[in-house]
Amino acid sequence: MTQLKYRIKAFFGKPSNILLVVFLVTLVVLSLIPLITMLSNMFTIHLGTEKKLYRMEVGSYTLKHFQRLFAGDDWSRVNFWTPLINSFIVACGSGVLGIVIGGTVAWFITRSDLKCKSFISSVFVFPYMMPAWTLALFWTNMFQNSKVGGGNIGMVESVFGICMPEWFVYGIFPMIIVIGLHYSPFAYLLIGGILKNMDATLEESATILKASRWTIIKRITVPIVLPAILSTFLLIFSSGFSSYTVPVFLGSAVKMFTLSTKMRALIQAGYQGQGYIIAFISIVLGCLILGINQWFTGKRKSFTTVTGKSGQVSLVKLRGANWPLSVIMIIFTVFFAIVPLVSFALESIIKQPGNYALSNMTLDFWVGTEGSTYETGMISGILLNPTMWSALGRQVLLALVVAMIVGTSGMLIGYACVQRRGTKLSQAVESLAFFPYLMPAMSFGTIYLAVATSQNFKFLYGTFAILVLVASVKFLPFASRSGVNSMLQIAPEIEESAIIFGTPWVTRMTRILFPIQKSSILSGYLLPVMSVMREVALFTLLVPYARYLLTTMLFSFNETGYSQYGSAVTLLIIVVIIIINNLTNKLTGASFDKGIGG
Amino acid sequence: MKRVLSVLVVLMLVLSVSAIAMAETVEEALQAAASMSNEELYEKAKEEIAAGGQVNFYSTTSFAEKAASNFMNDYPELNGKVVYAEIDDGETYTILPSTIGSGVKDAVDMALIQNGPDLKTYLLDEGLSYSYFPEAMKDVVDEHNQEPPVITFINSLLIYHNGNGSINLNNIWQLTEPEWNGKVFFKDPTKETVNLNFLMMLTSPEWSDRLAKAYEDFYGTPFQSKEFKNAGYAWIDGFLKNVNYTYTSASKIATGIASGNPGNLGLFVFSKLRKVDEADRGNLTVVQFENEVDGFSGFMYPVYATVAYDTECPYTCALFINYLLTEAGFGGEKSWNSNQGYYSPNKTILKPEDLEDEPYEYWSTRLVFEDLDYIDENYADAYEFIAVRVG
Amino acid sequence: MPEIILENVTKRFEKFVAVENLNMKIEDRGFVTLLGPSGCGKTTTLRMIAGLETPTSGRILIDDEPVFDSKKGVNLPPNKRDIGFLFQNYALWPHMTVYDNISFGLEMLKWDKAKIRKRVDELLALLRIEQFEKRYPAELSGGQQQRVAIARTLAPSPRVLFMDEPLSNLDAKLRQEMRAELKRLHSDTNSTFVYVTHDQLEAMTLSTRVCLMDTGVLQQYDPPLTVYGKPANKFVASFVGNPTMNFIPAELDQVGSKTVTFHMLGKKVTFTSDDQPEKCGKKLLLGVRPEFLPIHKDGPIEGKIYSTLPTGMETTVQVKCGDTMMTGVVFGSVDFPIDSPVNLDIVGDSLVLFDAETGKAVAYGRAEIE
Repeated sequence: MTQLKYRIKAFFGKPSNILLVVFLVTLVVLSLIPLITMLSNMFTIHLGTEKKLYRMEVGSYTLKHFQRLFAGDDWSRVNFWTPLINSFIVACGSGVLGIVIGGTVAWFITRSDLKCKSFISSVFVFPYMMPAWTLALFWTNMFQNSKVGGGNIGMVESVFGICMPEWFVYGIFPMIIVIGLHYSPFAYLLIGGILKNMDATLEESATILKASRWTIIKRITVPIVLPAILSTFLLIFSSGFSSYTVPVFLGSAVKMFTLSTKMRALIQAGYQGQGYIIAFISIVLGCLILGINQWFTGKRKSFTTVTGKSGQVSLVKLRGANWPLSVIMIIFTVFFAIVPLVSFALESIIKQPGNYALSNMTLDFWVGTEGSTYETGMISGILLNPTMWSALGRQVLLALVVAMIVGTSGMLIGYACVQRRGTKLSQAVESLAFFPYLMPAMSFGTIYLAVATSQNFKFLYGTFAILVLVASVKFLPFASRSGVNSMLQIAPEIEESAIIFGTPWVTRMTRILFPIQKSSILSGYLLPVMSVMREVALFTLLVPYARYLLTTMLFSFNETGYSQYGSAVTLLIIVVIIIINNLTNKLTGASFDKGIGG
Repeated sequence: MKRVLSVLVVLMLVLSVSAIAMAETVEEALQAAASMSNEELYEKAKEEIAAGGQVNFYSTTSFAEKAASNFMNDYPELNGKVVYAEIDDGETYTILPSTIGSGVKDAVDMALIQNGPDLKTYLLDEGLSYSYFPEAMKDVVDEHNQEPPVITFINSLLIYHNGNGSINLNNIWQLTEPEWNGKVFFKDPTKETVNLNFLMMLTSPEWSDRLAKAYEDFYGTPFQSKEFKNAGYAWIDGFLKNVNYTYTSASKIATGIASGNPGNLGLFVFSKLRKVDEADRGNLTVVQFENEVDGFSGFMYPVYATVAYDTECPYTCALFINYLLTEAGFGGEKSWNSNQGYYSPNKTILKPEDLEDEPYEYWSTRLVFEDLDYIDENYADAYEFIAVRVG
Repeated sequence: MPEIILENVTKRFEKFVAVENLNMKIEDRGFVTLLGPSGCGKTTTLRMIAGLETPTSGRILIDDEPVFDSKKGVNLPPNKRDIGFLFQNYALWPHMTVYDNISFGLEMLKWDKAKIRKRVDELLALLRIEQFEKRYPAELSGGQQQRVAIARTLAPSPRVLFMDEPLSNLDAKLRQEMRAELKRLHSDTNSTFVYVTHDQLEAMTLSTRVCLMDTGVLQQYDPPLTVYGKPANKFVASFVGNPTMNFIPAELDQVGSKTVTFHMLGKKVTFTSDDQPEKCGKKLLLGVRPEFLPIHKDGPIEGKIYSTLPTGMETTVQVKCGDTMMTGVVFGSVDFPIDSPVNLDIVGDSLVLFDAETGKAVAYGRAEIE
């Protein structure tokens, strides 16, 4: 008995054990309760449509949702199989595209003597900071034309007179392009990071053995970065698979549904049970992808830890191709990073869409007062609109609160997991913290919706607290990953030497460990800020009303046709994100495109 | 965390207990309010506000924001206490049943929402909200518009781009012909329930008969089909085949058609014409203003007022509903009545002379209205039939 | 008088036993080295005494006060044990200057500023690193970082100083230098030193006692020369000493009261010891240090030169006698042609007889070859 007591006491004598237990319990509660709620929702009758449809009591158990969704008739084709296939194609396509673009740029930046590297590098990551759907919006603004849809003229037609076919403007093709482009900076950062840290001697020894440049890329470089490429592919794949906003913008016009948009549509139409089944399937697929990823990276672990003295990397001389390639790269990055901003600025000041004459311009959508903007349906221009300011305020507050929670938790999880590395407890916490990554934002929002609408947790619905909760759990994975990685870089002796001096745990954290990993820990705080500032899918079901947050407000503007306000708010969000990024960069050196680049 | 949670739980319990205790009083208060004068209500409302109350007012129509501010101008002691929030139609019945009774500060007290069948099943039947209608108005509003109380009607009309001259649409079956493929714009009915209700109503005996008659007028042969249960289903099938879903909202359909290709036609909310830039507005023609259409020339749906069972301010809500039913509330400065496409159930309120529009009575015979009971009965069949065709 | 006593200390990681039932007593002001090959449990032992690792069972006393007792549930944190710890990789805090690194421990003791200043200056002087006071660790060489680490450890004047292979990251010359300084430091500071190393030379030269461990089990705990001269078993004998001890296979004939007779390399040998020999099996090994294996033409053992390795001061000679390879050391530079025949002798009274099966020492003494 005393032995047991002693062991328990010894166990909790270590702060890392306390932390792990606390996080274990919290994470189990925050991911298991919702998951169980969702599971039970797959088998119950909901108020409204389902009650009407099946003539059953609300809350009674049934298999009808499964029967209906998988019946094999038109209904299940339209509501499940076709969206599933679409999601799959979009995910694969954008994964490949993201890697091709990101990888190519990464190679040019780290391994060649391309011009204007730092410009390309910092502008290239831009699309990743913007909400993904802004690029979708930009795409339609650009390419819509008189031959497709309603015949509204986009910029390309009005400037060059070219009409793109429908498949180019709406549907799977542009979805792949937009999602692929959006995540290509992600591929760029990951692959570039490895290329940059890869020991140059690996390539140099091949050069000495008289291998040509191309052979080296093919036989040395690519195989070494291959695990990174694959895991990047899987990450983009799962992001693409679960993307919600982009399919809404590019698919609605041609009735192209993906699983995410279908899930939402079903829930909206009152078919919650079937919606939750789809959410569950997306989660299972997410787990599967992570499984594949871990199996793969686990198998080839030795490759990914290629580090080395990364001395002088001999840059490939592009010679005559340098200038043309640089110009192409610059044009490419500018087109997808800067031009959208210009186009949003433009769209936010024109009265009649498609007409860019000076007489058609007005600043009413920004600073108009009651009288002048009456026709547009809002009380005043967005800069004078109290609703907008309170939505912005809430969003920023949400971002900051979530960043505090997520950043701190990520760091503490990192600390505790590294301290107790190898124990089952630490593994459990680490994978639980990563688990939310597998859940598509839409499904995640759906799950929390299920919880918040259940009798026991009704008090959560429509509150700021639930937004904080959902965002904190959802954005924890990257923070805990970066926490673990940064703590792994600190030798345990660093902390132990302070222990010997009797330094209390909190002081050890604040004076020794955090200052050492300052920049990587700060990016653990920065990332959630960015994510919250551009997130829609996660919040859209949970906000009490659309204008509660800036992003959901914007999304509803764009959906309902306040396109000028939409563009103005988009621009505002992007500006806020850029300001936050630059501010953090200036103050701390942490930034989005940190660690790689010219 | 744990402490916060337990505090929250206790808070929730307290609130729900007090909500139950208050539930009767809200219902009773509304009953009492129905026979009070506005002055009496104002006194009561002032008491509620003085006790720390506030009306969180949700609406799917944006003019309500203006109406609320006009209301507070007229009743200055309520200033700032009616807090407006716009709510998306698609979210209405996810959000309201969840927030009402939650005790959350931002939770809804009163709402103006569309889609009667859902209002009935999600809120009224569940006892989550109440209807309120003042005695004084019973003479000027038709009885079927009193329970639940209609604040405004909104119509969706057939409107087209007249760049190629008239499209000569005089029978609704024309729109099922292949020549209209991709040229008819309509908001995804699975996303906006009023559109869905409209289509469902076409399958009702009344409307399928009218469509069968129009069918015979148009094709010269009586309607007969093995595939479809009645003419309503047949028309929906033919119509949805032609629909182009490029635009995701009524405003987008309006501006999109106006600036798009000539000859395109939309079935969308009439009032959204105000969103179209002046330079393009001349491009649009309302079919009904050109000629009568055999069948129908659009549909009309009500926006209802409903009061949450746990509001702290039933009298303020009642006063506000009274206000919305009067000329001052409905036709106040820059609110519904000064626009095309909004109609008060109060028959004494007429559309302004200078507006190209007709009163409620004119439309009531030419448009499809939703019938709560019919939709409730036939939801399953009709919904799946439509949803599968939408994609 | 901090005396450190370990009683039945065991440490298990899951199924792996790192330290098994260790009993040891470290005297006050001793300089004890924990010696052994990597993975033998010596670092774990050190960390358990310091309180950085929690033993699975057993008892540890410092200064008669139990700092750990699994039965009574005592487990004092490191800071309550009045110790210093010098890590192999120095573990200097990269974001603090040399001064901050050294003063940190004193701040934790809530010393006032002036006192801290004085103590840090003292240490900077003692370790001759005054000029680096304002630098960051990354701006120092390995040897300088080492001195800073020592200064930091010494700052609060711990009564016991633990060092975990502190010299292994230094180059050979610097290591030599630091060794001498550590020995000086030991007598200057009046503290008890516990030192982990896998370098037997370091252990021999520095310590007052050597604790030799293998696979978690204590092999021998004695002063260095005892360990060298009277190894408890074959493992100890072969681990200590360079070139390593020769082990010549032998066959037991008879065990007397203070003599053992056996056959070896086809010759009969009589082994005389001062004490009663231990019990042993039929197969034996005669352990002979290279310095007791002189080459001279009258030597009774014949062999052929395999290789000679002259270092200048001495020459290591490898001789093949039948199937057995033997290593001898000769003073001065001697060069024998490869494969030339030589004769060896076995001299001295520090020979060890081992049981070939158990590896245990049977007797210490002299041998006479017939």
